[in-house]
Amino acid sequence: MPKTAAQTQTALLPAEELGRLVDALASRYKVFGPVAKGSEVRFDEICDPQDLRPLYSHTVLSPKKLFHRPVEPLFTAKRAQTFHAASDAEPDRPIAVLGIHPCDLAALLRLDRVFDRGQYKDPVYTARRKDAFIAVLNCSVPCDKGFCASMGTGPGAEEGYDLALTDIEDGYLVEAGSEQGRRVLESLNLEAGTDQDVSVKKYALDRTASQLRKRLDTTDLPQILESEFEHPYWGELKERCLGCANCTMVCPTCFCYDVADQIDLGLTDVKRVRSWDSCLLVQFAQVHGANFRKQREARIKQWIYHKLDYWVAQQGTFGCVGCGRCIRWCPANIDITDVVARMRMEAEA
Amino acid sequence: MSDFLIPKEAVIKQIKPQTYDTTTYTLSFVDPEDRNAYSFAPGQFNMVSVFGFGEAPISISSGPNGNGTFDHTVRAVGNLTKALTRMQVGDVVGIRGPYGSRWPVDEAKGKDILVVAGGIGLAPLRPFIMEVFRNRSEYGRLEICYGARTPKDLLFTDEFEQWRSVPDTLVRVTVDRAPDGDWQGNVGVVTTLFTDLSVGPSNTIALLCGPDIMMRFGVLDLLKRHYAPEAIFVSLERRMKCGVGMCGHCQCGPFFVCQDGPVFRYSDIQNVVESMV
Repeated sequence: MPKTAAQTQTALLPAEELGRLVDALASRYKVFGPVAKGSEVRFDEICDPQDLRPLYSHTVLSPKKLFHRPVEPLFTAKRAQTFHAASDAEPDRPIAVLGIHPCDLAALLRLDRVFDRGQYKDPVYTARRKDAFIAVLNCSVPCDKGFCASMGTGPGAEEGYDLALTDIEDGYLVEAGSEQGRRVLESLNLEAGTDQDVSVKKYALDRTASQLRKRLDTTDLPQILESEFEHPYWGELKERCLGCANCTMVCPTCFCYDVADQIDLGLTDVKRVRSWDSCLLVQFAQVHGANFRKQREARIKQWIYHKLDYWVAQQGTFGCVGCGRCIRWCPANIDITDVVARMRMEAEA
Repeated sequence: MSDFLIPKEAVIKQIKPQTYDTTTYTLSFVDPEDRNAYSFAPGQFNMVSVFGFGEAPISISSGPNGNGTFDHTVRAVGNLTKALTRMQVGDVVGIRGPYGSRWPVDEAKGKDILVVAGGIGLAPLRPFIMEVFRNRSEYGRLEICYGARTPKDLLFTDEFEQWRSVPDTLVRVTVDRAPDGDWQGNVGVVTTLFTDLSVGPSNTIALLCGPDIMMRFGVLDLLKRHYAPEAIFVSLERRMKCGVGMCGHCQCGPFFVCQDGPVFRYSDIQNVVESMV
């Protein structure tokens, strides 16, 4: 797993030589990055560096999907008198993620704590993360829905990367954040970055932060939300929410999963599969004879309260990294920054 | 790779019908190593697998006994629990666990104990009752108030006589309604038994398990009778897919019921709206 920046070795990578970084990583890793897919950009394996879209504004799904996969077989077994459960989690080549934005990296660091509970560690997720190489791409240009600066997760990454790239117009300023990163950087044999390059980077990131249009004031936010739990506004919000679960599917920190057995037509081979689940869906909190969130109001509140209140109690950080995806993909135009602003106003009234 | 998500094989040693829809299964791990490594505390649960039907959290209903077996008392209400009813002695299920918090076995020492159970809620409380009986002298009075919908729904009835024979132990039973007419006992919800409790609020620990509505009104009633919120414990039921705080289903306010619960001190959750208690 990448370490917090210990070395400050920097270099300048000409924009047209980004492919050399892909090649350097490809010998050891399966390299993923932002590639064009129809009218969208998505994280996929980089087969040809020409496909890279390093200037992308956003992706539908975050690179979370590479580590906590949307659908994942946990193990297979025979349905017989006795069953033999054996994990079929094949050892993949380690994953390198090139071009992940700082918000999505911050989300991965939060997920690391979800899936490593000390006594229990999710074996698949933690194995993928342990061996992964992270080359974060800081945001020199603001996106229209993001509010990373409000959440303290961007536009520049401060931890959790092996390499950090920042577009400084003359090319990418590349900084090593770990020993693996330093070695990869060394192998590229690049010109060292100058103090001026570092100043340009700082300027570019400050400019991005100041240009972000979306903001979310986090001051006393858990207390504010707790004091407004019964506010009638939640009933209004419920009327707009379609309960479609888009927000949870695109959220880079949503981790909830369902587990189900799939059985073959011969009724012998069984596969236990987990897949992303969503607290916006009606059966999410259902047990026999009771549904703890039967009302849509309870479900949309659960999602918002988990991100902005309960997560703080659970991890000491917010569960929202300000990527803005839930705003972008909400068919009802629900905007979490508006919701928070409204609740703050109600609390202060 | 050590993978906690992969269940271990356990064989059904004994099947004992409790009611028309509820059965107690005595299980033991197939592998002696699993058997030796396994221990649980009263209040904890296992994730029980019937392969092809999935996995569900089910509380342990036997006391820790040291002979390598444990019981699950299961009501057949869903796919998995109905599949269990089709299984026989010698069949194998999958077990992961034990998970979750425990009843306050140590904190209750030297105190009187009020156990309030509704329906199948007696199953998760039975390990605690067994534990008290095992170390009877370390606890004060034990009063068990048990309510069920009808006489047909009462569990562990064949044990009540034995429980009542233990010194300083009172077992009181009530049913919401007695449609068949041959019921001689109390009729009314379980809180109707509270009017003449043999234990008082000052030195008693109260443990409740049952449907939400029973726990909610049970707790309210005890608070009115001057029980401290810190002296009341409840066990919550939630949907669970992992048992270790990762699948997200069981969240209740800031808590993961599978890890922080299922047993909660009431004072810790009294302000959590979603606790429903």
